[in-house]
Amino acid sequence: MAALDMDNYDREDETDDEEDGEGMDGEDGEVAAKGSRRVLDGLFGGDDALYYASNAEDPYMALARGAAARGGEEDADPATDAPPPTSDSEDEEAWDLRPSDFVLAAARTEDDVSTLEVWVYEAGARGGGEANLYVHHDLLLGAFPLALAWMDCAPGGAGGPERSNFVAVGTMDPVVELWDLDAADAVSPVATLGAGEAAPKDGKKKKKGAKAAARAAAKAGGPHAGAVLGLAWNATVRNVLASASADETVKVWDVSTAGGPSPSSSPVTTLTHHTDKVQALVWHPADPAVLLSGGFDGRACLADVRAPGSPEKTPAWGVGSDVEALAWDPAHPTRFCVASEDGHVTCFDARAGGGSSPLWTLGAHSRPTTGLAFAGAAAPGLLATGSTDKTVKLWDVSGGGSTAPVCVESADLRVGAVFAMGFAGDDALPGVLAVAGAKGTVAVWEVGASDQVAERWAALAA
Amino acid sequence: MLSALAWLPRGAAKPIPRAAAPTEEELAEAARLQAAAAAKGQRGGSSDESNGDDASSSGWETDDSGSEDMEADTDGAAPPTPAPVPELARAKKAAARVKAAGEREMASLDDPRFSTQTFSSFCLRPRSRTPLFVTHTRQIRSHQRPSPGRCHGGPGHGQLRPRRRDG
Repeated sequence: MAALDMDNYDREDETDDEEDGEGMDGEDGEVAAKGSRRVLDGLFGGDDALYYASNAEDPYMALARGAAARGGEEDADPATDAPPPTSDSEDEEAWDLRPSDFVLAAARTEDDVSTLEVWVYEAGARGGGEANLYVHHDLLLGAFPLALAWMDCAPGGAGGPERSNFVAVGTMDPVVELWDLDAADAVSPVATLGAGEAAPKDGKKKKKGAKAAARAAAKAGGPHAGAVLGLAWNATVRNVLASASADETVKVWDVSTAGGPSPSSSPVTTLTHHTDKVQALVWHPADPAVLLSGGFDGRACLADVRAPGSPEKTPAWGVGSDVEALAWDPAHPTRFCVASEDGHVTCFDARAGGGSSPLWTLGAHSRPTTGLAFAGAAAPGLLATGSTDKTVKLWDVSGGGSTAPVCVESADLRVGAVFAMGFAGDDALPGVLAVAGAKGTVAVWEVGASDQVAERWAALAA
Repeated sequence: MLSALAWLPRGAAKPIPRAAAPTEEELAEAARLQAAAAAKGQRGGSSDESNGDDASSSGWETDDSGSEDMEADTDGAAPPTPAPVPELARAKKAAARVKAAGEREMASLDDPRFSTQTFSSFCLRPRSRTPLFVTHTRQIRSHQRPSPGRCHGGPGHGQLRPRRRDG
C-alpha cells in the first residue's frame, strides 16, 4: 500500500486543475491559449499531432494509405522496405486472372440460395511454393443446380473459330441455362435451352396428367420435362451439347441456334433408350458422334447421335445399380468405366458389344461412388474415384483385364460427401484434381505430390 | 453444398471479367424509369402524389399542355442522362432478388445463433447481388474462415474479395 502512495493519488490532477483554472480565469490571453493547447495535447497526443497546413506534411496521411492497402491487417511485415501498393492497384491485381491460374466453376446451394462460383487455383504444391484457392466471383442462379459443363462456343455464335467462355448449367428446372463466365455481374443466362416451350409451372398443384403429357412430349422430341441431371459438351463439334434428364431422355442441342432473336431452342435429337432417370453423360474422346449415358435403370448405353435407332437395339451394359458417373479410358479409347450406387466401378470394352462381361469390377467404396475421372495421357491408367463416404481414392487400372486394379492412394479431403470431381486436364501441369462436396468447399489435390503416385507415374512428379 | 464442378482450360477466361450486357428486362425497366423521370421533370414538384409506376401515362393525361412539354423535351433542351439508368435498373433487379433472399432468412430470426451485429450489417450489394448478412450467416454456421495458402479447403463462401498470396 505504501508503494501506491494513496494519500497523494490525486495530487497531479489537482495541480492540473489549478493550472487550467488559472489559464481560464487569467487576464492574459496567451495563458488561456496555452491552457486550451494543453487540453488538445491531451486529446491528440502532443505538439506534433495537432494539425498540419497541408496533407503532404502529415505523416499519418501516408500511414493511412499504407494501412488501407494492407486491408487493415495489423500483422503486416514492418520490415518490408517496398512502399505498400495502393488499394486500387492491389484489388486490380487480385481481380485479374493470370494465364497461369487454374479456373473452375462450382455450383453451390446453401439456405435455398444457389450460386455459380468461379474459383481460382494458384498451383504451387509441387514447386515447393504455396498454393492458393479462392472464389473469384459468383453468379446467382434461379434454381438448384445439378450439373455443369464448360463450353467455348457462344450461343448463337455458329461454332466459329473464336473461343468464348461459357458454362451450361442443368438445374431442377427442365431447362439448360448458358452463362457467360466472363461477365462478372450477369443477372441472367445468355440463353436458355428449352425455355419458353416447357410446360408452365403451377407449383405443387401440377396435375399428374399434365406431367405425363409433358414427359410424353419430351420423349417425342420436345424440350425436357424434368430436372436436368447431367450435361456433356462436345469438344470436337463445339456447338453440340447433350443433356440428361429425370424425364428419362437424353437430348442433343445445337448451341449455335440458341440466343439471338429467339431465346429458346428445340433439341436436335432425343434419345429414349433409358427406362428411368438419366444422370450421367460423356462423349467419346475420339468419335464425336458417340455418346455414353447412364441412368437409374442400372444401365450404361452407347448411342450414335447421328442415327439413334430404336431403343431396343441400343447397346447397353447393366451394372445392377444406379449409374452415378461414367468415364472413357483415354489410354484405351474403347474402354469405359461405370461408377454405381453400390460403390462399385465396372470397366467394359465397347467392342465386345452390349451386354458383354466386364473387364474388371472394383469394389471402390463402401457407399455410392459419385465421382470418376481419369488423369489423362500424362498418367495412363490413373483413375480417381470419389464417394459419399467422404474419401477420394486413386487407382492404377493400367493392367486392364489381366491385372486387378491397385489402390495407390486414399485421402479424405475434408469436403464431406463427394458429389463432383475432375482433373484439370492441363498438359503443362497434369494431375490437378478438384473435388467438391457436401461441406460446400472445393479441395484441389495435386496428386503428383504423393510419393506413391510419383513412383508409378513419373510424369506427375516433375 | 457443392453439387457440381467443371474445370476451365487455362487461359480460357478473360484476364479481366467485363460487365454484363443489359438484358431485355433491364432495358425495358430503364426505358420505363427514363419515361417516369421525364414525366416527373415536366410536372416539377407536383409529382409527389403520383405513383412512379404509372407516372408516364397519368402525368400526360392530367397535364393540359403535355404534348407541348414533350416536344420541348425531345428537342434536346434538357435531355435526361441515359447512362445511369441501366445501372439503376440492374441495381433494382438485384435488390428485388436480395429482398426475396432476405425474406427467407428473416424467417429464422428466432435462431439464437444470430446476433444483432449480424443483422446490423445487412445491406444491398448490387454488384455481387449477395446480401452481406447471408454471407455472415454462412460464416457463423460453417465457421469457414478464409485460409489463403491452403491447398485443401479454400476460403469459405463469404470470401467475396479475391485474395492473392503475397509475392
